[in-house]
Amino acid sequence: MWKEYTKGYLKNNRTAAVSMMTASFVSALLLSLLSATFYNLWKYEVERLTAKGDTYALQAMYLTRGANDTAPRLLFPLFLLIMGLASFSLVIIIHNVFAVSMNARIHQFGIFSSIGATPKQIRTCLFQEAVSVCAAPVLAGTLFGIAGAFGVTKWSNVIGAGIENRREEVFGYHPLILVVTLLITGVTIGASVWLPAWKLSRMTPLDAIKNAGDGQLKRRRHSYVLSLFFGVEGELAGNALKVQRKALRTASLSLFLSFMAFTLMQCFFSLSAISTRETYFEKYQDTWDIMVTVKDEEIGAFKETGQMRALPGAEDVAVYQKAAAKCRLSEEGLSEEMVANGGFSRASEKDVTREGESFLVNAPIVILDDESFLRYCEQIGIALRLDGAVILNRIRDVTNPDFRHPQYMPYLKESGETVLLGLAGTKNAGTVTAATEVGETKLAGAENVGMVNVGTEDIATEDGRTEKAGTKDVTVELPVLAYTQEVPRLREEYATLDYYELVHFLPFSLWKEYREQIAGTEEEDTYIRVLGREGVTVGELNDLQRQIEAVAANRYQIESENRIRSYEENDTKLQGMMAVFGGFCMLLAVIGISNMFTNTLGFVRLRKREIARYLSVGMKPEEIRKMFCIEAFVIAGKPVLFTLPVALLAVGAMLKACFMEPAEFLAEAPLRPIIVFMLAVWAAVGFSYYLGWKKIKEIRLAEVLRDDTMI
Amino acid sequence: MNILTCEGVSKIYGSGENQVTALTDINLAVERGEFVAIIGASGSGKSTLLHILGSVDKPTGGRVTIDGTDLETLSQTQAAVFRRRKVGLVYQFYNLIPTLTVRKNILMPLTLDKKKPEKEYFDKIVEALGISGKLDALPHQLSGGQQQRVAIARSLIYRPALLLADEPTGNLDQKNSREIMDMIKLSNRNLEQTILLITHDEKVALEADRIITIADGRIVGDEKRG
Repeated sequence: MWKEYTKGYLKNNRTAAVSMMTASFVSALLLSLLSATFYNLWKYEVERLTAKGDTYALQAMYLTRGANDTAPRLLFPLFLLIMGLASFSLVIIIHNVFAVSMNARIHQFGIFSSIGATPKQIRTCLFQEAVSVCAAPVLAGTLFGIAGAFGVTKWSNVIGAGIENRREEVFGYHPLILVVTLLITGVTIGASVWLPAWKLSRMTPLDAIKNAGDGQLKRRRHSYVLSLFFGVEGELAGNALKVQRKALRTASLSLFLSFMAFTLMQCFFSLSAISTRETYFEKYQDTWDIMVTVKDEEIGAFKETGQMRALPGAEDVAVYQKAAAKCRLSEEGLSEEMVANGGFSRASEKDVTREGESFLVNAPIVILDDESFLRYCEQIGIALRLDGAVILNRIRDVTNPDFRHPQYMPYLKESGETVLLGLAGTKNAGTVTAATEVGETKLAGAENVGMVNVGTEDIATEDGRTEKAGTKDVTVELPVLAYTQEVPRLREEYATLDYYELVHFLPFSLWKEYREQIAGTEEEDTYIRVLGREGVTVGELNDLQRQIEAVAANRYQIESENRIRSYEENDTKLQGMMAVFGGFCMLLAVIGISNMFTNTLGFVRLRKREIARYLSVGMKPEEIRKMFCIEAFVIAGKPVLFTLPVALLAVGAMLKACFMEPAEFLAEAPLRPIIVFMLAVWAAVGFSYYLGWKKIKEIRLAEVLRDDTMI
Repeated sequence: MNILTCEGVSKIYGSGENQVTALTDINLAVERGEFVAIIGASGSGKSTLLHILGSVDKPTGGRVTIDGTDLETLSQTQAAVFRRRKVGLVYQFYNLIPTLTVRKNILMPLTLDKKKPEKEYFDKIVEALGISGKLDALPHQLSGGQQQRVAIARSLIYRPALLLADEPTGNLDQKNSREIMDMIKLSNRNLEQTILLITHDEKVALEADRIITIADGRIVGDEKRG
């Protein structure tokens, strides 16, 4: 009996059936696309890490932990979270499609109930109906989702083709993913069906037969704004929208969510692109064009500096290595500005260690090749010498968190002629240990001297030696050539994590003298920074990069980066991410728009009675059309109206977080894609209402009045 | 003076084998201030006639003139405006707009014309119909009788040339039917409102000054009562 009833209903109510089929198809498509894409992302990551031999990261992918590993596992929980959110959003959005179809038959179910159908039988009937309607669309949606994920893989290979060292993504699909996808889709659609079915099955027969509330407002409402702007048609449109609120909930929610997600996503990525460009690409535009990392080689071992400099197109070449050290400072040695700003009072113990009257701070060392060091001397206007260090004498105003526009002040008093560096830690120990009792006399004075402890096991040291875990710390005293606030042209950032570090630039010749004592504190790799001519093109840079690789690749293991290509690759990655997220937003909008169409195409069935009332009191067809236009305007306008304040707040918060001026963002605000998305939504809503109007226009009042069941 | 004339009005639905003749050669004249009841069995064509007189439907043949307006010449828009200004329609199922308050429902024909109501006349109508205390309620918050009074008030607000009532008591109990008929009569007597009432209830028809009987789409009786 129920089967026949369902069959008959679906046959005579194609709009309702199409509406349910669309909702289930789009849900299955979205969930299948998400799960297949996530599976492939996972697979790609596992394959990449396996090829790289990074077993730790690989284990981390599978959520296994070592005893001391407390790092959060983000990827898998993130997948689960997104799937959970997607399912929840879909339940919220599509349950209404089923509710509309079910509510249209409250009267009929009331009759069933009155002749003895139990709530369970009614629920079962509705479930069977949903299964018969949704089975084929779910399968089709799942298959299309898999095809979509295949497309995403292919497309990411196409756009990622230019990205250096990128592994090609090979599409894969596991039967288990199909099972999981169908399960999630089933649960999502099941929940969407269950919600209205449960509600309907619990209605009393009398309530159901009366079907009270049809086309009525529960309490008096007044659409002030709409009636103010559009008169009586505005008020009627506003009230009609309130009455249709449930039927339009799917459309309203999905259009709102899609537009908001799209707008926020566009704003976020635009802001991110501006930020990366300004803080990285533009900041270093005149600093580097090609960066080469010479793996596991110290600066002294690299012999091809001259050859590099001779390459046509290489305007400036600097070879450098970095090392870690510690330096002890006394309060008397700090600059007046630094003292006025609180000295070390805001420093964390991790960065600055207080030892009696003095402070031990990190002192990173940058060892430049001699020629680059001499150029640096020239740049800062001091005598060209290789027998001392240049100290970067600046510290950020730590009270001002604006990293985009940092305010610097002198760190030290610039009176010391030598610096005591305590070079700490060894390759083996891998830790920087604190130096003790070294250079106390000098530190107590007004001189700005520091110390760097270098620890190697086989070096015998004189002063201030501390033994810790098999390391021996040493102190070296270096002459200071100058204190400056200018940095050499390197692709380096200083004092970003530890504001209190005191950076030292040393020429290689000087480093060589102390190398025997202080070996082991330097990083493993050596860097080569190459700057091409001004206005260099990507083609020229590619040539230069090839030549550099030809010089160095035979003898060393190198990795090289090309600034313009990195910029383009970064741009491509951003575009790719935006396209993927934009695609999801569009899918969400499609749910809303399809709901709009099913609603407006059913206007004659749903709103005949309402329209007849308007016509019978003498409303002109133009006035009804105006009312429809207002309805469409409100439906399409609401997502924009609600999104604007949210977007403004979100962008405001993002601008504040990254210390960007609103004008900078506004100049490149993604208005075009947002407007295009908005216009597309408006056009779709407008078109759906136009089709609805075309059908409504054909209503003949006399026919409606003749049909007593309608009134 | 005739406010309504029908000359040879006919109405045929469908074509070929499915053709149904609803009205045949209806000739009728109603004077200003007259209270006419049209009586007939179900399917006799009385509702079709009312729809044609209310400019809701068009006759297949013949001519209808109301207050000097030939309904044949009206476009869809003109017919809507005509309905708004010249004809007050009262239906069996009230046909109130459920989303608007009683006050707004009553004022709807004026609002559509962007006209302000005469306060005195509005008060007079709602007082007479006994709904002055329900003006801010929504239709579904009223009883059937009260809803029908609102429908009558709405049909009278524009001082129409003709009040057309289609089984106005058909959905009401005896007490409410009596009261509604009293209201209709009152509007006829006090406001000199021309009324054309359709009913299948002879007792209701007896309230009118004139009873026209329709059978099979033809006028078969026209009786003026004292």
